[in-house]
Amino acid sequence: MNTSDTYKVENELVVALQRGEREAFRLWVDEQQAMVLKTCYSFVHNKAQAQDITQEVFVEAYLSIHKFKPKARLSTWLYRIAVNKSLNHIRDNKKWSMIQRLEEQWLHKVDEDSIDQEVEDERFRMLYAQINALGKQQKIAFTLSQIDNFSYKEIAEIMALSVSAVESLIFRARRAVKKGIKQRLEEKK
Amino acid sequence: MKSHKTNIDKQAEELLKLLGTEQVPDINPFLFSRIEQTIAQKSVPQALLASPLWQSLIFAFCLILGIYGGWFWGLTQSAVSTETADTYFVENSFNDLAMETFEYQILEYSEK
Repeated sequence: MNTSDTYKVENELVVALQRGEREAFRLWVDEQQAMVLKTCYSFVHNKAQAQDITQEVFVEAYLSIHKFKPKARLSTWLYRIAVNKSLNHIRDNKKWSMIQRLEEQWLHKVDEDSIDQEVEDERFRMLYAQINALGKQQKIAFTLSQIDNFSYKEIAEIMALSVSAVESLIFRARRAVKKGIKQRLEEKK
Repeated sequence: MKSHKTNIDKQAEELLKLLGTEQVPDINPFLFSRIEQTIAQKSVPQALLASPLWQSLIFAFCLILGIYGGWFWGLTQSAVSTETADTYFVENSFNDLAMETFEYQILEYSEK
């Protein structure tokens, strides 16, 4: 059974959550955790960290559900928390994640069998380095669109922007990422 | 030169196609338990505090407590200072022997 079976209208779910009903919260977590985890992972690119942030997102959502106003969709509100938590995590752990990445690279080098994986990881690293170099708004819009496959309308709701603004952000982000990748490839040759 | 540029273009496009293909981590089956545990640790009864009526009542209570506390503290302080002044007055008016210095004692002794 999922939340949409139990709560026909989203408002009912919101009221149940605001009342602190455990079962409603459990169903909501079960239904949304995969998407929240995917969103967090698309920003931090680390499985353990993404899982920790997912947990924080739901705790934050539970503790501030009384602030939720039914003008927006509940899922949109939740993804906004996920994006903010992920960006805060990146900001707070910049140095630490750099050390971890170096450590992972060193460990990969020791493992001779994982050369293919190493090449694949290198491609992803190059891609994510370009995405991380984008401005905050472009990065959010681009990640939600290209990695999490949210629609422009959903992204506009999450970011509280117009759909045309989101289109423009994604277009410019894609162009910047492609330009960055081409520069990196040319430098390599 | 042109073919080199086209090749790089192709590679860049291929890289962009990788977006969204990375394997997403598995869902943690104990996520809900962990969330509940974390919420329980933050022992503040949030649902209760969330109600606007309770928020107003708590605010009013804190305000009254602050004002009363300040007034009470003020009273205590003035009482202490009065007592100190009284003690000082009594000590210096009726027990001035305590004020006499050692030199005075010597002078008085030598006069005798």
